[in-house]
Amino acid sequence: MNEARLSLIILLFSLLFAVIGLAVRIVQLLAHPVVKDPSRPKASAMKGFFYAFTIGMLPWKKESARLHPLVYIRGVLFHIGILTFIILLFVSLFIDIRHLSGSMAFSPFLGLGFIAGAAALVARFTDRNLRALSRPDDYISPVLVTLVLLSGLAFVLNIASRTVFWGFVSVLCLYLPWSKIPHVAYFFFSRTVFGVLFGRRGVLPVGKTSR
Amino acid sequence: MSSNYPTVAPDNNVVKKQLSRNIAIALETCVRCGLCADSCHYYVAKPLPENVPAFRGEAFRRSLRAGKKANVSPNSLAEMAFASCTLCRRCVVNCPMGVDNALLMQTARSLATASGQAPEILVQLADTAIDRGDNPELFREFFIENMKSLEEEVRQRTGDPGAAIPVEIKGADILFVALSGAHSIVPPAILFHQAKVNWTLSIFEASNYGVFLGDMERAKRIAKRIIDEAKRLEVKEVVIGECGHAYTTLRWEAPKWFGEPLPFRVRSIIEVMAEWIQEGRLTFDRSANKEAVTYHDSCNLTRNGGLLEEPRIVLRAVAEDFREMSPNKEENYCCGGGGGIVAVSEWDNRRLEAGMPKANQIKATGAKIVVAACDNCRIQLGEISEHYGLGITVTGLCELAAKALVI
Repeated sequence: MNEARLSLIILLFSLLFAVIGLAVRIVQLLAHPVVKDPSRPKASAMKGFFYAFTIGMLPWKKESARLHPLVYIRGVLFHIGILTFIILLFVSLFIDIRHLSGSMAFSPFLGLGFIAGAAALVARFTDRNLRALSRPDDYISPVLVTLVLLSGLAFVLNIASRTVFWGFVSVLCLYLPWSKIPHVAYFFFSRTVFGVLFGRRGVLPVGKTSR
Repeated sequence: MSSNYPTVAPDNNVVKKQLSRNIAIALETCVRCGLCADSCHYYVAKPLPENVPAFRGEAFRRSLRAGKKANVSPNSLAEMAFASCTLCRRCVVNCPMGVDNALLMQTARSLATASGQAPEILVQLADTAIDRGDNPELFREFFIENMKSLEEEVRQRTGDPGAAIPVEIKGADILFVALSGAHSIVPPAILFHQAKVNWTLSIFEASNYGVFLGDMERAKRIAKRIIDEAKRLEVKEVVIGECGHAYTTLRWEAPKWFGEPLPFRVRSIIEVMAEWIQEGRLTFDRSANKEAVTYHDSCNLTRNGGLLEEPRIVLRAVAEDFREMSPNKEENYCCGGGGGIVAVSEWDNRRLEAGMPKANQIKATGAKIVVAACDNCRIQLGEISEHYGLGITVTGLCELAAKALVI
C-alpha cells in the first residue's frame, strides 16, 4: 500500500469517526426533554427565528460586535477559512487540485483564515478574561484548526503534499468529538431557541432601538 | 480555569428535573469567546473575569461535570447565581451563539436552593406567600378593611364619592393583582375608575419569590393562588400591577409549569393603559408632568416580557418631555436590583456597585424624574440615586399617568 492510499484510508476513517462522534453528541443533546411553551404568543416565533439567523447576525445589530469590530471580522475570516478548507478537502478527495487552473483562489481565504486563527490564539493566551474562562480545549481546538488551515494553504501553494494536509485533517477529525467544534451544529439549535423565545414574546425582530 | 467560584457538588435529582433541552443547549453551545463581557452590568461596573457571563456559565458547567467529586464550598454556587447575575438576559441578546446564560444561572439557583444555600430572606418571602395562599381567611377581612381606607384616597383624587376598590368580586372582567402597598393599588384604581372598567382586586400580591429561588415547586404554588382566584371569580383577564418578574412569571412561565394555557388572558397594567390611551378612553394633561422624564426598562418587562412600545405610548401621552436612555429597550442595562438581590441586604454593596452603568445612563439623560414600572427596580434606582448623588425622583408609570389624568 502506497503512502497516498494509506493517508486516504486514515482520512476516511477519521472523517467517519468525526461524523459518528458528532451525531452521537447531537443525539445526546436532543435526548433531553422539551418543555412545551403553551403561553399565548404575543408575536411571531417564526419571525424571531428568521431574524435570529439573518438580520440578527449582522454586526450592527449586536452590541458585542459593535464594540469589538476586529474580533467580529477575525471570526468571520476564520470561519470563511474553515469553509474553504472543507471545500478544498472535498475536492482533494477526487482530484489533485494543484493541477487545476484557479486553484490559487483558495489561498487568500485559507491564508486569512490562518492569520485570523493565529490572532485568536494570541488573544486566548494574552487576554485576561479569555485565559480565566478557558478550558484546555479552548486552546487545542483552535490550534488544530489553524494548523489545518496552514497545511491547506501549504498544499495549495505546493509547499506541502496532500498527505500532509490530509494528516492534519485526520488528527482534527479524531479529536473533534471531544472538542467544542460541534458548536457548528449546536449553533443552529441555540439560535433557534433564542429566536423562537424572543420572537413569540415580541422582543425580536428588533425595531428602532436608541443607542 | 482560575476560579473565584469553587465548585459545589450538585444535587443530581434537582439537575435531572431541571435539565430541559434548552438548558442542555445552553450548557453545550458556549465557545467561551468572551464577547458577552460588556453586556453584563456587573462587568461594566467592575471589569473582572469572574463578572463575565461566560465565566459564570463555565463555573456552573464545571460544577455539573465534577459532580460529587467536586470540592464542596458552602455558599459559592449560591453567591455566583444569586449575587452576581440578576437574570436580566442582556448577555443572551448579545451572544453571537444565543447562549442563555441566565437560564444556566436560574438552574444554578435551583441547585443552591435544593441544597439549602439560597438566601434565607428569599426562602422566607416565598414561604410567607405560600402560607397566605393556604390560609387566605386569616387576612381577608383585614385586607378588605385596609382597602376601604385606601378607597378614601381614590375618592379624593377622583372627586367621585362613588369610586371604589372592589375586592374579589365574582364576575368582574378584570382581576387586578397588585403588590403590597398603597402605591401599587391607588394609582391603578384611579385609572380603572376613570376608564370605567368592571374590575376587582386580588387579595394576593403579585410577586413570586419562588422564581428568584429557581424553585419551581414553590413558584407554582405561589402562582396557583392567583390562578385559582381568577378561576373562582370567573374573570376574563388577569392584569398584573407594576412588577417585572410577576408579569413575566404569570404571562410566560406559569403556562409552562402547568403544561397548558391559562384559562384567562394575562396582561400588564402597562399594556392595558396603552390600549386605553389608543382607544381614547383616558384623557391626559401632559402639562401636569412638565419636568424631563426618562424611563428605565425593567429587564423582566422588556427583554423577558416583550413590553417595548407600550410604556412609551403611555409616557408620550402623559409627560411633556420624555427622554430615552441610551441604550434602551432590549439593550437596556439592568439597574442591578433584579433577580431578587434587592431583598438580600448582605449583598447591598455589590448591588449598588453593579448599578453604576444605570446611574451613568440616567445622568446622561439630564432627567430628574425616572419612571420604572417595577418595584424592585424602583427600590434600586432610589438607592443608586443616593449612592451616586443623582438627585432624581423615582416614580411609577401608573402614578405619573394618574397625576396627568383629566378627571
